[in-house]
Amino acid sequence: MSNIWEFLYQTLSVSLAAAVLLAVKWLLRDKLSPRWQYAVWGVLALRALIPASLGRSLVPQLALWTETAKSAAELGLDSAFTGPFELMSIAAPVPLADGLPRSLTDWLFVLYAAGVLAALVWYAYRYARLRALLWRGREDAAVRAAVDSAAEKYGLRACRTVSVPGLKGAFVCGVIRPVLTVPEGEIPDGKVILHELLHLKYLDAAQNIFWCVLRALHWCNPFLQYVFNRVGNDMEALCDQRVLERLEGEERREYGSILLGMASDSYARAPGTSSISNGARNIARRIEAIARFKLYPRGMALVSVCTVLILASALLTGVKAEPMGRDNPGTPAEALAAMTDARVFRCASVPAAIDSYVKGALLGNFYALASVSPADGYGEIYDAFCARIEDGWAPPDAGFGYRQIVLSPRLAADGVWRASVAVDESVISMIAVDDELKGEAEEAHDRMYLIPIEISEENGGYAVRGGAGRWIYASELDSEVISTPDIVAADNPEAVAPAYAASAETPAGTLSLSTGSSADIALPDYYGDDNSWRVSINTGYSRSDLTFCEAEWGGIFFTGWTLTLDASALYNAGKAGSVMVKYAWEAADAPTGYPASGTLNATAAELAESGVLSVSDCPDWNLNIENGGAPYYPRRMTAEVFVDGVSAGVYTLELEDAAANNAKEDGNEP
Amino acid sequence: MNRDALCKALGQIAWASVFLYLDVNLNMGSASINLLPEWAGYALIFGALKPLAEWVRSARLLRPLSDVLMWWTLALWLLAMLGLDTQSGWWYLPQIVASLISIYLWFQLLTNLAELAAGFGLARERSLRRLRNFSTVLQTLMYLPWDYVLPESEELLTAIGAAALIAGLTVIIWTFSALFGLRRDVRSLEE
Repeated sequence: MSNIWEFLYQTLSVSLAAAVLLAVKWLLRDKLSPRWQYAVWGVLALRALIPASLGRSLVPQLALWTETAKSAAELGLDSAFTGPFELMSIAAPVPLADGLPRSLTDWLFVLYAAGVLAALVWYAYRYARLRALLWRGREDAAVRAAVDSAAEKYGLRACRTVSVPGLKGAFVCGVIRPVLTVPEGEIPDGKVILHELLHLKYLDAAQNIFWCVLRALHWCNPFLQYVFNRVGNDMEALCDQRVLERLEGEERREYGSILLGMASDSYARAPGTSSISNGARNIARRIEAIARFKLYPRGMALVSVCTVLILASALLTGVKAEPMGRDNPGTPAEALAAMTDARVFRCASVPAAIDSYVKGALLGNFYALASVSPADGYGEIYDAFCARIEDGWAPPDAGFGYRQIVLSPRLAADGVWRASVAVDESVISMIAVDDELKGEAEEAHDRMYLIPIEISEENGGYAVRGGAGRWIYASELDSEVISTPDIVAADNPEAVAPAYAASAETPAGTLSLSTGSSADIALPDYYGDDNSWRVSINTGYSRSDLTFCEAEWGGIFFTGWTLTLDASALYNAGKAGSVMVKYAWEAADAPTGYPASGTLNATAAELAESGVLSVSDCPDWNLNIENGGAPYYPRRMTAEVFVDGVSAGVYTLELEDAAANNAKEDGNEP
Repeated sequence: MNRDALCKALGQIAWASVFLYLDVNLNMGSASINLLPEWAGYALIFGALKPLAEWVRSARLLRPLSDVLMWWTLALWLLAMLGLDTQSGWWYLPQIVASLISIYLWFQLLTNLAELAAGFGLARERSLRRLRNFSTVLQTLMYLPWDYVLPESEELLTAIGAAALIAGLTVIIWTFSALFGLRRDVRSLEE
């Protein structure tokens, strides 16, 4: 735990588990034996040792509440240990501060850590004091004989004994070299010795140390301090149970009387020790348990184990966190809650991240933008939102279906996705959050706004960074038309960069190859009438249904390529009657095995027009692309150029970056 | 000790299992009414425990548990009738406690019935103990976090689901047979 919020979340999680255990133990108090009553605390121990997770907890929104409170508090502070929008991540259940404290919450954490240390030191001091008592004592032969006799009678291991003046009762001190300490001048009853030897046998002193450490870690949680007291009492009650199992008849009654006689005694509770006496109220409870010794139902071993397994399973795994905020908050406080959701429930697929970015960055959907923001962008998003709210901005009521186009999404060797997104001017002119852009859109008939984006994995999801957008002409782009970069470029030259490109200089001119793709986005298992996704911009994301986080490529994923030979120079020089290119893709590793070879040629008359030969195609390489997966782009084309029937050379056009894209997808090195 | 009252109690327990294991839901728009509500089953058990305790003393320990479960399932039944969601994560903790108590109750109840059968010298005692163990282990297995350990495989999940369904049906049929059979056996002893 590296800040006070992580401690708060951890201690709350442990407290909830403890509350459930107390409820179950109370309901089964007279049905399952002290053995079960103590064993079930093992679940609490595990819960305390396992760092609490943000994704799952015993109450669906506990992590989110804590995160939101953290954001609200830390916004005004300059913490060295955490930030307002930095997700909690508990690596260990112990305090580990990194750096010097700066803010109030930092100092609170330091105070907590100091408290843990102080508690441990205090426990160590008390143990040392008890141990020091032993130096005042002496070994008593009669006591030793009694202990040896009891050990032999009950088949237990004896230990060293010391009689100490001024003690009120017997106790075992130490783990590695345990000592049974008794009041000077007294020879304890055999049953008391039995009790202490059983503590020894079952390493109760060591367990005590363990519980003391947990107690120290949660020193400022009064509820857990109460719970740990109960743990200690249950440990004693279990020891009573073990004693009773070894006694017979009247001895059991005598044992109860002995405990009653200790009801007014003080007791030494310190780590590394165990004592038969543990306070008047606890003695009374133990007497009740003793009275029930023979009344517990028999044959409950199996259900005892099963209940512990179920409790462990339930309390250690919890339930999935559920979101709590609003899609489009109207106040800064609501924005913090929505931002918490967005940080925890990240977009789990690239298509989802792209779509969220557009809805957020262009169209003002706050939650969508936050769900794909890089970690260092949250502050800016929040400030921008607050400024908008101050200016009187309100989320628009209108919502309608639209479709954006994603051009050439591709995964680079560095693990970062790149793509361009094209959004229709009609959408922007209606509800863009940027007034200037909105004004441009109103003038931009038949155009689309193109934004280059990068998508990288961050914080368990995807973060999107957008570049500078620009307007392009893109008439008649719809899902039926092959939307390759060149079709777009035909309307607006160099408007859209291809996914991958390569070129070679040949005697006939420059030979260029480019590949690209286009797709739209669909929610899982949902397609509109024409196989494209229709979603209302502002109300599209139902917070109770996070499937948008897993949106996938929708409809048909178009992948196109264009091969161009610019023979204009050759033609203008009068050196070409005809030009031909025989090409073939090395597409053996293509998902569908598209053969893709052919011939590109032009006669002199055809060359006369532009001097440029070009062929494009849209094979089905990504027809069955996996949900949200990286598309396939072919890596290599071989082309032989002919001028007037004579070979002018064989050229390999290598799309190296495509190789990296596909290799990363395959998990192989390019 | 009143054997008539015992037979009646055994009948109540047998019919309680019908209410607890079978659901007949009447869907009305967003609301749903279970015509064999669980709370009725627990009410039957609650009523049967006092006469049963005359023969098997530890059975009286189950009265508070059946009482708690009766009120709990009644509350859920009413909420379902009102169309309210009782499946969200907010109900996780109380559902866990209720499920745990239910598993314990059935385990001890079947143990008590087995002791009763043993007291009458009935061979059904072994069947009741085996049923008790099988159903408890099966229910426990259902609660373990298998999604953490099992690989993601549709075939595996389908196979597990089918096995669970078969096991569950086995438990239901076995329970009805054992409990109604016990009542019949005790009644025939009387005759």
